[in-house]
Amino acid sequence: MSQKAVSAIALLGGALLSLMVFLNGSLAFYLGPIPASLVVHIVGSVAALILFKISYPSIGLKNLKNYKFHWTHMVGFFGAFAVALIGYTVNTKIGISGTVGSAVLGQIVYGWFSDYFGFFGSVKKKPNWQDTAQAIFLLIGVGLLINA
Amino acid sequence: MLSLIFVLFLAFVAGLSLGINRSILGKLGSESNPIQASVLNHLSGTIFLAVFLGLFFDFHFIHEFDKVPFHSYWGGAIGAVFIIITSFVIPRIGVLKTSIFFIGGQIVCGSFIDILMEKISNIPQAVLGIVFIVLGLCFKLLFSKFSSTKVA
Repeated sequence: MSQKAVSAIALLGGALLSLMVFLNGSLAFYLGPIPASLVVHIVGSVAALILFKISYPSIGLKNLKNYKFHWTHMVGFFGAFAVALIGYTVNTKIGISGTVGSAVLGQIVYGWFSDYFGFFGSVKKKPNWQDTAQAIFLLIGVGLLINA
Repeated sequence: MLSLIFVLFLAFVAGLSLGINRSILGKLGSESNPIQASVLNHLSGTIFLAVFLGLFFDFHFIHEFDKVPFHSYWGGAIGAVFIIITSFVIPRIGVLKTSIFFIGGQIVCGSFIDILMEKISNIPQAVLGIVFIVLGLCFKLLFSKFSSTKVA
């Protein structure tokens, strides 16, 4: 598959994400942000388990005997928290675009800390002027979007 | 104004939380596989939220289910399918380009939905905002071509 085709799939993936934010936001409008996040995670669990069963048909429940808990398996805590927060902010004046813009900024700032301290075994790297310029551009962009 | 800053801050915190979530997911995905990581992500999120609601709130929201339009339930499924797109795209075009296309697509489509929902009225200003965000995202990609050091 050509690079352009893969890039188009990635763009479509981004569009799908905003559709997801919109749908989750509408669920939060009816149920409230925290119950909506729970429903999103239940539906997601069912979908992920179906995908898992299709991809690995030979792995069954009996394999759970070998399961060993590790703290990283609580990964969903952070996703659950984020989905609830986003469910709330999407239904305010800032809408999807303002929410996505601010959340992107949050992810970039997290990326700085992650690089600086080398979280989860990543290579340590100090933020440079490009990182700062990137954050300034994002801030201006988000500022323009939320007032548009 | 204060409430606007507070809401923006909440969305920012959601971004921080998503960053932590994705880096743990990446670690899990490289140790096992992306679909298994997605299962763990959704199941642990479900358990956490169910316990939290049980302890501090209640489950009365189940009486509201019939008011919710059916399509609103599909967001969670999109999230699970998205893991497959991520694991397909990243090895082919790299993390940086993938992030740019994901966020670019998300911002453009999100703004389009906001225009339809009448949350955006000044379209030229929104387009300018999108241009700034996409330019900001492209910074590292543009400068990594002129730099001899590897940009992660």
